Amino acid sequence: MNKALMKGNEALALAAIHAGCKFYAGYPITPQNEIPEYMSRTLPAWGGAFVQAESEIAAINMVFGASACGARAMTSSSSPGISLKQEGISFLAGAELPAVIVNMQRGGPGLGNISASQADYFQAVKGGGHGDYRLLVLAPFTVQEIWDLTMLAFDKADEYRNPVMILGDSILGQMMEPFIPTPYMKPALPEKTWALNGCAGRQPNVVKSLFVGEGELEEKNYVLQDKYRRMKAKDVRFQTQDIEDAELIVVSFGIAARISTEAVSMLRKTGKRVGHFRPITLFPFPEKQIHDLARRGAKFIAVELNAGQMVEDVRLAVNGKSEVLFYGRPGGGVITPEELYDRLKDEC
Amino acid sequence: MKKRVIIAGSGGQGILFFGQLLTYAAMLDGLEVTCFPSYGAEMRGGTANCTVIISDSVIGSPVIRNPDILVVLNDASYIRFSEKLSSGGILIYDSSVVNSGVHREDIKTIKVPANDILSSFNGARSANMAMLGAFIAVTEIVEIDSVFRALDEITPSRRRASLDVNKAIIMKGYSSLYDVPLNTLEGNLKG
Repeated sequence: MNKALMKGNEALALAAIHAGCKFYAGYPITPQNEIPEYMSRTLPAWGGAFVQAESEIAAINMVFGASACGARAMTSSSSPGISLKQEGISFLAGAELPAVIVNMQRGGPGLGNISASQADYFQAVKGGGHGDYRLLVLAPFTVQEIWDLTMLAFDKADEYRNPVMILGDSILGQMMEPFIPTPYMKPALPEKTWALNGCAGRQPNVVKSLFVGEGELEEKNYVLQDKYRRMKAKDVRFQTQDIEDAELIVVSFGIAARISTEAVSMLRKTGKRVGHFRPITLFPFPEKQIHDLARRGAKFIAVELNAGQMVEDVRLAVNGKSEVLFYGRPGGGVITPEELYDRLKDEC
Repeated sequence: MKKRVIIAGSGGQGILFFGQLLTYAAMLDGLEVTCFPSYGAEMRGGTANCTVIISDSVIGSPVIRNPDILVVLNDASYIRFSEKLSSGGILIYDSSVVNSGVHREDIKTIKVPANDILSSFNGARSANMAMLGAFIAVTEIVEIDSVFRALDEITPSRRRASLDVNKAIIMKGYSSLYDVPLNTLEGNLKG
């Protein structure tokens, strides 16, 4: 199959269309504008609807409406815009509605800057909105993986009836790289019998996140928790490089993983026993796999484009069985492989 | 083989198009390639730059500090980037517009008089295409045929009229630095 050359943002939009996305709403913000731009040009021709909403909050609630009607729906934004969407994301989780939410992260806090950052890790995996909910969070690190995981995101959202977040950053969104646009293969998924698509001949469906009856909300929460347990049992994804004999294991995701794999390869050439572990799902986090490596005695260093967020999940997974270090740069500072090499060479 | 290239100039000079063509050509040649453009708070007349990494193995970071090859199309970029070029690297610059004096003994410097190259093209302003031709000749990283095929495939339909002119300018930039009789190449191009 011929390769295609597109920006990460454009590949994401096209993958969503191939995966059957029929509704997109968003509000512009750099560095993800190529997503709404591409959707506005292309989605209507595929029989879908594109709406440039009046705000991020309106966009996420339009996605709620489209999803409640049974359509595959997506919104995208970047850090400050994703903060605005949090109420709607909590409502989607509470109403058990599938949706795909894309965050091409930029520097923060506040309006921050438009450089690459991973400072929204906590917000993505710990539930940036209110209530006991989780998103399934996918962290691609190449344009190929943006293509593949965007398709997967729609399937997983439908399978779990839960919002799925794709957590990228400004470099992944803006960079061009060849990839193979593999055709979308829809897996067997349950019928959307809950959808609000006309109730002639059946009882009306109700989609809501308000449960005020005695014990009703507690019951609902147990259903949600059971769902998150199923995600943990079935949908942990990760990739490793040179970990078999590694004394030091670098843990990083997304763009930081690209920088790390290069630094790890440089160190391997000098005979250092260093490896790399890349979580692809940030929730569910590959805690068991990291714990097993820690029991073997490997030391860890989390490398992130932030002041230290995923490192907390690495520490929880390691649970005192070995040492966990951190290296990162906040505020849109981008680590170079040479800089990371210098930081790592004395640790192994 | 791994070559790290930065192409820099001002907004509107076609810096990103240069980068995109080079990236597409490298893909057609079966190489690994990444292209990271500068973006966002830029404006017309502001700076534009683009990092292209071409390799025969998987590429890690698409962002680099020190390029092996630097192509500059204006003074501001010459000043901003020429000190970052790796020792032993190649600097290719448009000598029609760049006047700054950064002198390094440890690099190879290629002057390309883009205006002279464009003079026979009746008002064409595609200095980026002349520089691309020179780049292909000097670096030999990608095949010129692949660059032409890339141009065929990514030129938007509304710009089809510029296609043949751009090819001819690339070829003239290429020939200006490569020891091949220009007439022969132009003959091939038309054929």
